[in-house]
Amino acid sequence: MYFYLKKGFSMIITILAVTVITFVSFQIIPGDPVLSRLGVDADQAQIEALKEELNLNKPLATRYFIWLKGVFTGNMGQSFRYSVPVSDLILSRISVTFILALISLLLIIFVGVPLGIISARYNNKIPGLFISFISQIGMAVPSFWTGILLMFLFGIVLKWFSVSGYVSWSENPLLCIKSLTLPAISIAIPNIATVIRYMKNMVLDEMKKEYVKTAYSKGLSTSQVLSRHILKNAIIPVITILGMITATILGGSIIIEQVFSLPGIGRLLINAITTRDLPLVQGIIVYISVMIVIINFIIDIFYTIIDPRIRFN
Amino acid sequence: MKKTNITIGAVILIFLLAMMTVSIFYTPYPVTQMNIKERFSPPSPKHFFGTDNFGRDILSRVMIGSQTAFFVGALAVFIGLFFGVLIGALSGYIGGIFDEITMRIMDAMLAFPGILFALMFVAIFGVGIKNTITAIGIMSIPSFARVTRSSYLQHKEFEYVKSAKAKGASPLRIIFFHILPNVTSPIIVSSTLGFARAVLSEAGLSYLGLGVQPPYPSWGRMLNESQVFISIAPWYAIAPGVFITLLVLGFNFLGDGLQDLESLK
Repeated sequence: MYFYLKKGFSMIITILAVTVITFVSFQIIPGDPVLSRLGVDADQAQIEALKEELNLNKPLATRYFIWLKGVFTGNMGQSFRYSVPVSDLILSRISVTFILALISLLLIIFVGVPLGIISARYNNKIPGLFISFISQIGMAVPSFWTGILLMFLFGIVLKWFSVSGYVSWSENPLLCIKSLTLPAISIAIPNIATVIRYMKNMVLDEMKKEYVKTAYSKGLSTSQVLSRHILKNAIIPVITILGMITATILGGSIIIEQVFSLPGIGRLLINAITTRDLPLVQGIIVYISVMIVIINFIIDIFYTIIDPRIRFN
Repeated sequence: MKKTNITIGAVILIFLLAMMTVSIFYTPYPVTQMNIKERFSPPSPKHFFGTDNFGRDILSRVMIGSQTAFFVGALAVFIGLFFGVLIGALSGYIGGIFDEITMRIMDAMLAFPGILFALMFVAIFGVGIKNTITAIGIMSIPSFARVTRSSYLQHKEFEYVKSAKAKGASPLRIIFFHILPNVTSPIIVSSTLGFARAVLSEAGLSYLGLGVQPPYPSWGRMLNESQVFISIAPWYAIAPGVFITLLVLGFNFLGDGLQDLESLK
């Protein structure tokens, strides 16, 4: 129990740190936020009214707490450009990014883990070397370039997928998944390469251990040793890199949504930055960050349930 | 066999460095020369990678783009190294609460997608090559700090450090003149991999239009521009992507190769 309390406490601290950093960062923006919204020839009364509305007359710490309360109650002010609450905008876009991230994650696990095992099983033989070489390339290819090439090949030449046409989940779940397949593959490729390498190293490490020798001496074949003994031990550490992978998936989707014109949170962020819609930028960054902290927390907890040794270490 | 990685990496990087050096003095065509008559020419002996929507020679533009990629990568790695090694060295050598606090901050930074930080940075300070370099540089601090710290943790227990202490060398002297020269190899490995990440980040930011701005050429921005014309001029999207991949591949191979050498010792 103490372990979970400690983890939970450190999660809350991290979330607070993230909000402080985001909030303070946006205070150092050069320029006057009031003048940039009203224009230079606004009269004094207008300026005062807006300052009051944006709480600019209050001290920094007070403004932080007002904003922080907003982050948790979903009241983070209005977007400059769309004139609707920031939280509504984020909520309306989150499902696309969520489904995209989920498909990518499934691809990464179900392609990366088996290939990693094969690559360890045939280490220094042709299949192993081939997989290592491919994953080396997979790590180097920029995901947005993969996206452009996939879109060209499957969308324009072969016409298997429509080039731009996101179908929402509520309209048609199957078409929704189909419209997110190419983007998910683009995000997944570099991560699959990471998982392959990691998984391979884990399996190779396990293979050196005593219990594997015992298993072999019982007369088991390599495949049996792998599936009955090594896998169980090698797969647990992979869970630890899931947090890192989730972060790269979310980072990747910011770019990939732009490539495929998907109406997700990443695209909203890029639009907000180019139109200098700062409350929106701030809101999106804080929500993505908090999401990552919470996901990491869940993974940590999950990890200790699977492998209770961690808790007592 | 053990040196394959290093060889592949070195060959790729020497080729790209040579191309960058040549591009300073010579490109087949002036990079900004437009030629509407020849717009969207497919690859041919005259235009090796074809031409773009203004009839500009893509090979020449890709060659010039290598300067930006190397420049941004090198400076970003330099920033990351400078602060990363400093933080890592102090944290590893001093230890205690200082180590605890800095490493928690580094861990928190590592847990976030680098691109998110870079985007926040340009949202606040504006776009441009300087901010691109700074953002990517800051992003790479934590990984350098961690590598340096773990080397220092190891080395501070070694005899040579203890004897330096006994002779009365100051902590700063031990950190920078005794230990640092002995821990360069893991830092070099980590710099080559960091260079690869910096190239990818620059390309990504520039693709989004929030990285390197005109007139500086950038492979990432070329890919962005090529996407609009993908159905009439697919070759436009090939060359910049191939070169980003090659550069990243070169550094990754080199880094892996150096690591193999290290583990042989």
